[in-house]
Amino acid sequence: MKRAASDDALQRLKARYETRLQEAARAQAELEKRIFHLKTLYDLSREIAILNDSETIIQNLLMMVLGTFGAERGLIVLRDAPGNQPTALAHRGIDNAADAALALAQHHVAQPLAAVDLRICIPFDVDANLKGSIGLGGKLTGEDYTPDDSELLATLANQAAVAIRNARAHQELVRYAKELAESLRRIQLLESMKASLGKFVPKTVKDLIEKSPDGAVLERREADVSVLFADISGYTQLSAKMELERLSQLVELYFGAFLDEILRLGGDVNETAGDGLMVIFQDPDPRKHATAAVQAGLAILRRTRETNATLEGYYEPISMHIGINSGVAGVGATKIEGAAGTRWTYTASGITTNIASRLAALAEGGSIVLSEETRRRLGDGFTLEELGPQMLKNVLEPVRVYRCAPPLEVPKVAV
Amino acid sequence: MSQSQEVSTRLKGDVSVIDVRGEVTALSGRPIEQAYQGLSAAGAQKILLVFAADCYINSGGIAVLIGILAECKKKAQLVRITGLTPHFQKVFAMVGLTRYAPIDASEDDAAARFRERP
Repeated sequence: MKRAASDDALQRLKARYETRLQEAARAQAELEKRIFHLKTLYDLSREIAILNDSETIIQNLLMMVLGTFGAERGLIVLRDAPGNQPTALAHRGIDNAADAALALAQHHVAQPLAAVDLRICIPFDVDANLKGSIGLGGKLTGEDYTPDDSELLATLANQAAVAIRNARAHQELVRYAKELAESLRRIQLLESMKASLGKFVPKTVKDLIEKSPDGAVLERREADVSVLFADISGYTQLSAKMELERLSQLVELYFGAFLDEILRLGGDVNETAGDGLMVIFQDPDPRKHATAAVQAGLAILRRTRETNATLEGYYEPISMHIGINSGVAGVGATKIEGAAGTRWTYTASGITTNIASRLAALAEGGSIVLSEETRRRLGDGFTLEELGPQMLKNVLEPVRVYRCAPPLEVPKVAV
Repeated sequence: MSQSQEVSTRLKGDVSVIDVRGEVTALSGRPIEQAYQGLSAAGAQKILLVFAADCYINSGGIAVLIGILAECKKKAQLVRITGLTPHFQKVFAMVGLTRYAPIDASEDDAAARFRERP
């Protein structure tokens, strides 16, 4: 009797022990599963952290979740938020992936999507404009997905969403860097073009274009200017005697010296035509540009003498004759249209310019002839000799003109 | 876990063996897929995956293996697995891989099991 009671107690004890053992085995299996899931979270974060494109990230995420849940089929779709159109897709084991992606892109709830046999679907947000969804087929084990599975899948998806955000930010950064590099390249190109064009374009035009790149300021307007024409005396005879290349070198030497003086005095060389220069002087104060023009004329004569002295024995000396007039002119761009295309020039045109040109023709070598209008604006310090009224070609009224004799030194008049 | 992966194939009787060493992940799983495709194209019907003791297999790697086993199932190829550590044997069972490919204690055991189902 006593022994039977003892056997019963032993059986109960054994049953309890086996139950506990089964519970412990289940707990261990659950623990191992959770460790495996934690490892998956760690591996996913480690692997996608080094990726910088969205497609590779979702491809990697898909493989990780398929392996974690033991599923053969699955897909992940990224869609633009307003249109719900798929923008990126990763799929595995899905027969008609495009249709499945469209269906999943329209399916924004954490519910299975029976139409394409997805047993679990989890939507996730990358940002305000980009959303995603993961859908998986059944597990190999045949088990259903649990709430824990949904939670893990959402956690994995959110981890990937962060990586996609980072990847997009990185791509944006790379794009900006490329755009910046391209812009810098264009700026360098423009700077180089500017430097080259600067050799051909008057300084005023360069300044105006820099102020107003659309060219609006180049439109023709009336302005008070002084115009200077300087020509090489006897150029035709000189060109007959000299080789073209030597003549060009000679003109470059002299005109190079003149240019320094002209720019120093604020003039713009508008045109050079073989033997001559046309220079425009502008200033809000009409006296200043007239004075600057005459100073430039005197400086041209001085530099001619200096250059003649430097080149003595190599070239025959030359002389310049100069005409200066002041007044209102049409200043701005002039369009010249031809069959081959359109060319724009920046010049001062009208009667003021014509008279300046005629005065240059009137001047003898080594002298400046200026108009009454220019003389009226000059201060003291210039030696002028009145030549009386002169009839000039294509000018209706006679023009009173003056010869400006070069002094020993150029007068120091503020400009 | 930055081991490189090595995959090679050999024949053991009528069994086509794929030896795997190192890390098996989604990013490094391509050589195993290529090895399987090569054997499959050569007409392999019995395939044995042999994992070295140093193998590390993550979830992405398991997905690669699931893809291979699904392909084997479609082509009615027999697949067995050996060499796994106890930890990975549990993981493979947990995710249902063992339903497609039973795990054997050794290559010889696997070969014997293959012989039972010619």
